[in-house]
Amino acid sequence: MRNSFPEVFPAVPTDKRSGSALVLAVLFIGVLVPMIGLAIDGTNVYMMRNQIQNALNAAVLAGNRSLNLAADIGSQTANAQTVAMNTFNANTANMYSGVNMADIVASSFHVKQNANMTITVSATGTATLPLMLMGMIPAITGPTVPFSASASRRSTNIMLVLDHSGPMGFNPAIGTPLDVLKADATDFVNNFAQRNGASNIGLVTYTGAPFVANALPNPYPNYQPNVTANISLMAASGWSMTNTAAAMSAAYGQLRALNQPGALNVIVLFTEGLAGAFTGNFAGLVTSPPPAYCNPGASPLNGLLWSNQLEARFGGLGDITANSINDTPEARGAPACTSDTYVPDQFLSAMPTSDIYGNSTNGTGTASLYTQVDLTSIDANDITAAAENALDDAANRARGDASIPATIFVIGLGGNPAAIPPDPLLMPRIANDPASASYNGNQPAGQYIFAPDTAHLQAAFASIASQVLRLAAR
Amino acid sequence: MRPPIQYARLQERFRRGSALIEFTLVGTFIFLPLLAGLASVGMNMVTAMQAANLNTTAGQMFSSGQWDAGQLQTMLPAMAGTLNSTSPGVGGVVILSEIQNTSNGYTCTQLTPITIGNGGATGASKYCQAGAVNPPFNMVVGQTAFIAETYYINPNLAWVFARAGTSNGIYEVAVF
Repeated sequence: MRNSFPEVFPAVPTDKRSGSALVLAVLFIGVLVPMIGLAIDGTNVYMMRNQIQNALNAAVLAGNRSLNLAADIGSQTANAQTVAMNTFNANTANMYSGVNMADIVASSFHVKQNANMTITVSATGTATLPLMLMGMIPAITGPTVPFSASASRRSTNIMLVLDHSGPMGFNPAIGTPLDVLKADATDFVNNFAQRNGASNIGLVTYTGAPFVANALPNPYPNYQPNVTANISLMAASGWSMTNTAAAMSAAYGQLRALNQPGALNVIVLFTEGLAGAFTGNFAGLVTSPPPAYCNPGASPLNGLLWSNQLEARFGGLGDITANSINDTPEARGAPACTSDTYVPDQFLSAMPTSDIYGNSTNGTGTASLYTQVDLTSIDANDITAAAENALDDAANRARGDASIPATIFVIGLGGNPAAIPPDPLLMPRIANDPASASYNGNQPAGQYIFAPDTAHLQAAFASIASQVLRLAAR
Repeated sequence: MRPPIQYARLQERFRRGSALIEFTLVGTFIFLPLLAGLASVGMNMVTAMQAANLNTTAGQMFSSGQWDAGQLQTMLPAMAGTLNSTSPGVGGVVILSEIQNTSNGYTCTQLTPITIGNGGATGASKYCQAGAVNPPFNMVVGQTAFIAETYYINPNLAWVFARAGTSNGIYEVAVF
């Protein structure tokens, strides 16, 4: 009925006014409940999605790490799928029961290796996530979310090059540097084995001549027992010759022969002395009349030339072929000579311009002269200079190779009164350490770590292991 | 008889009073619990996500082998953000374990637990304890699993955790 006197009677009856609060509350709840639902379910879905994605990431990483547990790609794939699925399940064990991840199964994980020796484990799948609050409304279902993850790493080949020359046996009463080296180098190998971080690890030991104790290929799991076994056999030779150039060339020769261009090829060199020896072909350099103890007609007339600046001594020509880990061929005369104890300036007219591996002794090779050398003046200083040039060139050729560039890490040990410490300028240079004044940005960057005493060796090896793993990850 | 205009004013006054009562009732029994619940869930979610992310990052860093124990001890608290609180009793611990299935059975090693914040939650690994190895799954021989576990507590949020059913704290685990 029309109200003709609004100023006399209230506009709305009291009983109808009180109903408006209920209507407003219902309307408000109609807005509020979806908002709350969105806040709770949205956050919850985000967290579940985050957890599943993290679990999938962890699964492909674990699967990738497990690849070396088998030899062929078929077994590797099966292993990776098992490990990845187990890891995924372990990480999603406490998920809400309403999560439907039936789409993510072992076969969702794929293993692929490309021509560049990069191995990738990838996975894709979907999961339907439940809605805790809004799911109570039958018409509303949870979202189906796609997931994907992949982890790649390069195949990694490592050559360990370990110096076990005489001074490494210094002061056995308190534990020799060699004892510490053996323990830390073993940890280094075990570190890679536990993480399956390397495809191959080989070993070169050296004093006056290198010995390839573990040639490549030497894949996981073999390298863990056989490299560590050979490390444990090392003994300080009693001779102080340090033919680092030959050791570097022998190690790089293994990587070159393995011929994996896309792999991360690494040389880890440990030395505690100045590089003071090199292996040369002295044919044509023997003076006339020839001495009785060397056959000048022998070709090649290969021998070792060494210097010991600590004792101001030098000598040659020693044998250049080590027959076992602890063999000291430098104690024998070269095949064409009867003794190694003669002073070379008495029967050599000059030193060769390169060692037998093709490394320049006077800077005419791939690297400019590192140390000034007079090849015709054969004394302790010039032999050391030639040996350092040879090492510099050996490293430069290994790093600069167009198809198999090597990344070089060097650990130098000091604090040994029985040895002249490694050259502090040459060592960063051969590692191509970015801190070196001669750093070459076109070659792989490595690092030189100087351990002032044996207590720092473990950290040095651990640091290098960390960097190799970082470089291998993609 | 009361003048009609005065009656209307009185009714208006009553209306105002009843609206206040309705608002108070609705606010007390509906809106405040809703807001408290939202705040509870929100704060718990944020803390749980931070803890989960820290735990995942810790596990990933540990399994990669690129950082040693000393570096992890330094880096993880720095990466914990607001979890690394200086308030008394607020904090937690990250436990990093490595389980390997060798040919002689399971072995495990554990880093020194990494403290986050200023005290707070402590806890033991559920997978790697002295004399007991509890692998997260059946591992093939030669396989290594890296496990990160994080316990975290904030007494100021204890009621939040309790309401969220997390036993007054957060426990996160990640297997790599």
